[in-house]
Amino acid sequence: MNEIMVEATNLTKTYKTGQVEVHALRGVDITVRKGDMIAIMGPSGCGKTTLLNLLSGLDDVTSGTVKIEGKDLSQMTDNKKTEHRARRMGFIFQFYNLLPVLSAIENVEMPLLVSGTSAKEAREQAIEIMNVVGLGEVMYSKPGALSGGERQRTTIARALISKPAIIWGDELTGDLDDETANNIMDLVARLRKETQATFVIVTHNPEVGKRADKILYMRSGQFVREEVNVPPKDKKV
Amino acid sequence: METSELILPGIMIGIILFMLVLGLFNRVIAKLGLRNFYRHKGHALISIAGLLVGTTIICASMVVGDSIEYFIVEETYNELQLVDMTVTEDAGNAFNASVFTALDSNAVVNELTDGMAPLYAQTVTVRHTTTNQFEPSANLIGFDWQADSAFGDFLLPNGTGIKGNDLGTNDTMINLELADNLDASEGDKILLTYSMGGTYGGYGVLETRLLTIRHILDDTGKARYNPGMGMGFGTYNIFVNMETAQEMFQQPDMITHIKVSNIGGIEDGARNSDDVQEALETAIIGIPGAGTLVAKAVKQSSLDTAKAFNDLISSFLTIFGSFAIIAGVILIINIFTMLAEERKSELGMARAVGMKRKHLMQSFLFEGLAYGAIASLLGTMAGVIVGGVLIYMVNNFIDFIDIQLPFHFQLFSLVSAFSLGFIITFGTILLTSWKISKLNIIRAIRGIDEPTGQKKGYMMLVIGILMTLMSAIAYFQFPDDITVKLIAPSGMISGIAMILWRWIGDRISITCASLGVFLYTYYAIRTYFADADNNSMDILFIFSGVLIVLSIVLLIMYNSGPVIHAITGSVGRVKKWRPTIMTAVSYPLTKKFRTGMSVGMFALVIYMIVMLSVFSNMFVIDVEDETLKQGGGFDIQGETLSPVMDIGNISYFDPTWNITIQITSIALQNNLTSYTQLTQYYTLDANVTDSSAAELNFGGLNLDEFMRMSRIYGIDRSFYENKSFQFSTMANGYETEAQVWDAIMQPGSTKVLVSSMSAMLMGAESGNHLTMKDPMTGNITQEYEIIGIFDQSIMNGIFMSRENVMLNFGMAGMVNSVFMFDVDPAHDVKETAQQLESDFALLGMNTLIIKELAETTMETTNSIFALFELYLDMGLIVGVAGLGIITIRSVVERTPEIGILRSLGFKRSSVRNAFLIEILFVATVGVVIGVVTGIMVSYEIFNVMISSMGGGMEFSIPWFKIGYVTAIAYIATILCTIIPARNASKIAPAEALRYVG
Repeated sequence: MNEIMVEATNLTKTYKTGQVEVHALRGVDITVRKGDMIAIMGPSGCGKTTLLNLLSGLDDVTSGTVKIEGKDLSQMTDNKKTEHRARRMGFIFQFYNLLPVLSAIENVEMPLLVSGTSAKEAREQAIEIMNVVGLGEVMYSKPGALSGGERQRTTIARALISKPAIIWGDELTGDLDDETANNIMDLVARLRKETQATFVIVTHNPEVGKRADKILYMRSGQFVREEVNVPPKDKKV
Repeated sequence: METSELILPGIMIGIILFMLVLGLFNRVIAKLGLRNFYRHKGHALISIAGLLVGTTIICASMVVGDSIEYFIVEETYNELQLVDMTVTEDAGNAFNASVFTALDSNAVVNELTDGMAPLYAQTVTVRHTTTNQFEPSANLIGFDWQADSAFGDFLLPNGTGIKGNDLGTNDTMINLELADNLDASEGDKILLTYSMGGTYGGYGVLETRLLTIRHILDDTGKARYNPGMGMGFGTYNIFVNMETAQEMFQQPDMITHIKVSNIGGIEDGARNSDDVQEALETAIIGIPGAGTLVAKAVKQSSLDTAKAFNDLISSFLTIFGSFAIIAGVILIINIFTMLAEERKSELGMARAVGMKRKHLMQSFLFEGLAYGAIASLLGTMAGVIVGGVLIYMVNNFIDFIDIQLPFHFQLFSLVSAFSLGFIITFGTILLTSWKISKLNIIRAIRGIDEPTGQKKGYMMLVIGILMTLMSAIAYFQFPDDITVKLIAPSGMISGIAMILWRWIGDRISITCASLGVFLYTYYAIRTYFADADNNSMDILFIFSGVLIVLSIVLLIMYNSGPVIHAITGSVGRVKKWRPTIMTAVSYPLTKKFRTGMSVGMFALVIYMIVMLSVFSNMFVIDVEDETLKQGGGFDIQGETLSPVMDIGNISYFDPTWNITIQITSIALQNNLTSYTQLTQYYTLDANVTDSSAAELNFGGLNLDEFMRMSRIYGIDRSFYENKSFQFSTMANGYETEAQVWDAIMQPGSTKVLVSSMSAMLMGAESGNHLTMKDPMTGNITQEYEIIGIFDQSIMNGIFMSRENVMLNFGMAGMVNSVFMFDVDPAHDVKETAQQLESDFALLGMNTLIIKELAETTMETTNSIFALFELYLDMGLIVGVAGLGIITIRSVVERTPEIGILRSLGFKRSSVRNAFLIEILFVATVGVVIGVVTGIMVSYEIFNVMISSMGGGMEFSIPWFKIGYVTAIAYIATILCTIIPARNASKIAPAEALRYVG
């Protein structure tokens, strides 16, 4: 049995907007084992992204606990959480969220630099991974000059460069056409195999969900159903 | 009020009316714009703080100008009362009283005037016979009480009016200020001492007259009338019967003034001055022997001077503050560009749902209307306060100005300041909103940056061609206009770059254009500034500064690669800092326009402050050097009202004791090691016949009267032998100072020296020639060669040997009224000066301790520069507020990116530091550009304009001063940006990622 990577218990999250309270999560429990690829699916506003943000420590829980590799996030200071994020996590967002003023390769090497890797080493690793994701030709371009697929590859390269234990993906193909989405998921599958990283992906796309080991369905801030996929996991979308 | 003065308020009202009408027809758009204004109240407040500085500077300048005008106007009315015109002899000599009779009976003159009276006025020294208090210089005014009645009564302190018809031959009336100084009461006796110009004090014998004070007059009304126009400086008047005054100076039937009152009161009488002057001049022509008399519109002239002073001071301060005003304009552009960026997606949506470009523009204009109106209103109010502070500082910290300026402003000035501030703000917003409205809908909605490096449309080509052509036409049409020579080539360079833009891209075209403009402007400063006259100097100064600074800013912005590389390769080598620095530096250098604007804004302000610091540093005075320069080694300068042949041998008849008394000076006998006596003579219309210097222009000020008279000093060898006077320049052929002194001392020599101040006013240089008009004979003198510019300012005029003064101007050269004393080191200089004043009180001696003068000059120079620096520091407010606003806006605009950084592992402190470093980077680039260009340009200005002025001024860079100004700028910038930067770091990563504006 693989060791537990993420363990969340009775998570709730309530947003307050003026007098209005929105209960985005209503007591969610989730366990993710090392090397798993979990897809979280559900309609818009069901709390998928909120859950991802809480699990990754980007947001604070209203109640409940989140443990990553056995460490309780709520017991960590903001700086510790940030350091943990830099060393152990990678993020892939729907709208790529690249820093527009940096070139693609500078975006990619940023997590390494933040973790204290030397500039030379960071650049070498970034070049390597840019070649792996097929962006060797355009690595010095600014994000504005890249296509959607290229941007998402850059994001993936950035997420993987620090060899994180877990990668969070939020609608990572949501802004791409079918063919590009397919290519991206192929890339993710290949890299997953190579790195043995754990993936937690939020998606609307059932075809992306089918690539995961397990799909968790959410509705109104709660898990309502679970579906385990049988291999082969890398079939085409 | 002149019609031209209504233009600004007219435009302002026009804009407001236009916007009102527009708002009525487009209520939704108007509402949208106005709601946007108070959408983020805090942000709006800070934006207004930045915007109001321009108006503040304009308004403060006007308030100071108004106060000065008000002061002069009030003084004019108080001193002149009903006197509108005077008739005097050209050189100030007495003339026959029959002229008065002739003018008084002239029908044309009578029709235009309601009063005319003769005066006999001379300057005398007065001493109270019992209190022994004395006043070295007072006006003795002989008057005809009957004629003088037309100008009203004299007033006693209790308000009673008297005509002064009860004065006996030895009676007098003195004004209250003089009575207070003398500690005198009615019935007391005062002793007047004086010498008669015609006989030069009888070659050593002073004349005296004992008078009894019959009345002490209130310092209002006629008692304030000063025949010499004192303007706020003490007016001491001694009124006697006409016959008494004429008899004292042995000039029976002679008068020195005729005062004339035009029809009308104190304030409206001056309006007819031109007509009355013409009538008087016509009448004078018909009077035999009156050819040298001149009719002067003294009141109108003084009022004109007041207005000219107002304009001069206002425009001077505005020009001085122009860099801050330009920085304010840049800030407005920046604020609105950032507002547009921040609201980009909603603007795109608005366009998508049917809003036209003009509607977007209008909504920004309504928002701008609110910004403009509120910022201009607050700026006007702040300007009144700043103006008050400046006047307070002038009154209290500038020692040499012995007057108290009132705090006064005209409502119209406030309206003008408001209008100008409003028009500048609104005009800038108009242009910016036009640019903003041209957004691409899809890119705006999706938040995609505008593509860079795209080929521009034909518009750029057309503008480039037009700009090149217009600049070329201007250049060849006005080949002698220095302003055109400065600007037109820069226009041509920019125009050509715009034409070539399509083919060579923005980076190369902007790089070439900015480099070209920079190099040309630098060349123009070196070449044209020396020939610039006062009128074009301010324009040249502003334009050259703006062109130099902004061209360098553009050059750096469009060649930022090496800058980033240099920074990340140096500071960024520290592993921990690298990501923060990379992010901090990349943002500003990617957003070139915005960053360029911010850097330019900051650089312009720093540029001006650096230049002022450099110049103030040049004028820093070393007291010991200055003392030696001014005095040549003498410690005290004395000047007497009554000229004497030999200060060591003076006697006078004292009517109190009825004996002749020999003046014995203790100081002269005991305290001095040496002294020298200088003769002093006045000439008119000194004319440099071969001057190549530009004519001096002091705004609208008419200084002709002031400039007409020149002093001539006659010196002996004891003046310069064993002394250390210096020359700023010597004519060709003279190698040493001794050669120059020898040349002017030769009997019959036609070589002269001119003091540095006189040389500047006359436009004279070593080697030039000059002629003068002898006031006694009216003859034009022979031509003299100026062989040296005498570098001191306590005696301003033309220097020649005493013998040559006598040879050229007669007996005037025999008597002395200026004395230089060398104090024995065993005696105290100050005590010696006091003793000399006391010993020679009857001569009306005033002494000047040269070291004190040097100290006062130093303090005054420092105070004036400190005042200007304080004024200019307002520009820093624009710069710092601008950076604060930029940080706030950046935080809002880049909230999602903050989320990315945090998700990548940026700690809160790193996010905060990234923002701080970014803004400090912008400030640093601005500071470096401002400091470097400021020093470069001031060095060139020093070379072409100041080094030739002499005075031993050297160019040096005040690093300490520049350092602390920069430090203040940095501290203020950090204080202004730390809060938004801290707020940015506090945003939760997930919240930041969710942010959609």
